[in-house]
Amino acid sequence: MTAFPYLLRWGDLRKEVTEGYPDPISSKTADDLPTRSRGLLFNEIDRCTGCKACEEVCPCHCIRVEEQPGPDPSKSWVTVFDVDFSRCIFCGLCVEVCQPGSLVHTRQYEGAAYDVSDLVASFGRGPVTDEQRTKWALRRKLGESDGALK
Amino acid sequence: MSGSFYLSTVGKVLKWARSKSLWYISTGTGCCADEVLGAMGCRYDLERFGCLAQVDPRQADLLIVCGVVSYKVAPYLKELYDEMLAPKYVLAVGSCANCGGPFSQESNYSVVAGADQVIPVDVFVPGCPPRPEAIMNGLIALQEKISGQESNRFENK
Amino acid sequence: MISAENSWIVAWGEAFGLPEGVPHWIYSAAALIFIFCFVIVPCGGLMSYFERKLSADLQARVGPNRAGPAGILQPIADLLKLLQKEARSEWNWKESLWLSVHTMALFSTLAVLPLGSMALLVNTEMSVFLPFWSALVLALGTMLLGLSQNSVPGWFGGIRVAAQTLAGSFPALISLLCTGVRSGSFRWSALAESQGFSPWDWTVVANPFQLVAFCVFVVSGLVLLAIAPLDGGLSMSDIHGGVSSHLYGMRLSLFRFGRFYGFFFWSVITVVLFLGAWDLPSQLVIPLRMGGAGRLLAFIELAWLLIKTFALMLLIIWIAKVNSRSRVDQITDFAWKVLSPFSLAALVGASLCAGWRAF
Repeated sequence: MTAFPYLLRWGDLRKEVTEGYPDPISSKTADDLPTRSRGLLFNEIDRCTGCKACEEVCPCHCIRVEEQPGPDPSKSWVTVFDVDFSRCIFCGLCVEVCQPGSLVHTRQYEGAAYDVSDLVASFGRGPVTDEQRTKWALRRKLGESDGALK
Repeated sequence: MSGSFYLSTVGKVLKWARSKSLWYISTGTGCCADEVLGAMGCRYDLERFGCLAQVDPRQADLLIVCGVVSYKVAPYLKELYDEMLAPKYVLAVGSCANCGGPFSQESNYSVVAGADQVIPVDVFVPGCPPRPEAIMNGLIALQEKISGQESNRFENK
Repeated sequence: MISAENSWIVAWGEAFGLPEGVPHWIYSAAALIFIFCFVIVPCGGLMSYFERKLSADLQARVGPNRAGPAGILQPIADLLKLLQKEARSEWNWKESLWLSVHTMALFSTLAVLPLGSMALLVNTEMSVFLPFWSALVLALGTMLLGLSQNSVPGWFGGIRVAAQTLAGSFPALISLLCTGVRSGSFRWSALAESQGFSPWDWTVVANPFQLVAFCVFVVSGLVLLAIAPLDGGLSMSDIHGGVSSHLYGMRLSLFRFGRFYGFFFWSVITVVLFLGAWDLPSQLVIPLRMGGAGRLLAFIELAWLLIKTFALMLLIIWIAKVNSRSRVDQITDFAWKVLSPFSLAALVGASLCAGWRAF
């Protein structure tokens, strides 16, 4: 008898509450999540200074940062910025300590992978090549000479 | 002729059947089990994909490892996996099952660094815990793997 | 043997191209295989789909919808998947025993299953009791399966099934007699003729005692065959699968099919005994039979019978899904102490009614 109202569709007792997940219309997408929901991390590498604050604060050691001196003495060249999502617990501490605000949580949460190594996201710019090094050196020299001319 | 027919049509049908009927057994060793329960429930309804919860490993095709695998529980996980009959699949849900997560080797002496140290894992789902949608995403990835249409679903690189 | 009453098989055989002069047993075997493959197995698949969809519906879910349109191919996917499972151990004699008993029960019931006025393989004065005995054999097979498991859930499940079968068979048999008392015969055809198309002509509403007999018959069938919600010996959550706890692959699909079949034929018999059998309005039957469209009539009768059977089965599944599972000692207690007295009272009352009408 308990199911009677459900069978006869009295009121809104018989609405199916199921969200058909892969279908973006009947289910929630990443955009429907709350603004402060903590999804996969994203680093806007151009703004990253390579200060390694996130690496130090990460409780499960999932961020690895390596940097080299860059073109500008105030900002280093981030060669490696790996986030291991298989290890990440999405606590948000790294985002809190990020001074330039380059590291953010996206709202994306789908990340199934067939191998653990696929779960490592690399945001780094790669090692500095010799060509870049000579170019930067030249530019620095030119800048200094410009300053001397003034 | 017959061989190619088998591979093309019959094999496809058999793969389809395997991917659409993943009866699962879930190890509730951690809090990701709650999210799996949420995925089973009426809002996310894992049964849409043909998944049924089983109690006996012999009747299950899919082992959902949700939660931390300690050294104490690892032999039993292996036993559970060995009880299952081929073709069998494993879905590792959450950071602990992926690689130890917050209890990884550097900080804890008693936790295995991921379920794949003990049993072969087919699909890894990141999250701590992952949303039910993420678990279903892993399930769909597994279905694609079974039916031979693998695609790298991880697009945050 | 082919008698005058079931010479309908010969006509069917000719329609499907069997040559003249084929031995009768071949006709009978062909009919059995035909009914099995084209009536029983599709009904099993359809019912498992309906069951999953109905339970999903009651829980405000969607249910399987990925395999085929609206998930209709889900039973096929399940079956094909189970066929692909690895065989872990060799068959042993115990398993062969339960499987042979299961198969025996299945085919013996199939032979006596009433599926319409033109499809009665066995139509004798005792034919109503034959499926009843097959139900007992099916329960015996289930019990043997449990005892062959060599595991605690299997043993407990087997003993529970045996207890339930013993408890349920007595009221089932007594309430079965009530319908014979009304129709004056235990022939399928006589039982069908004593009823009609309209629900007011059905045995179940003939008098209050028949209604009691109907209720007792349905409930004791659930007890006897351990069908949900009275499946304490087989349930997943209660006893780890009970007798089916260690089955896998092909054996599991055979077992599930046997479970469905017990439920199905009990519902068919209930419909034939109490719910108007395959009776259609005479305005429809007479022109079809006179016009020589007997085969069409047979199909319509079968469809009408199956519709009523499915309605009854879905009702029972609904009841099972919204109520909790009963404990096995409460089930046997209920069957012995409540169902049995009620069935005896119904038999006495139905006999008095029949006698009143006779004089």
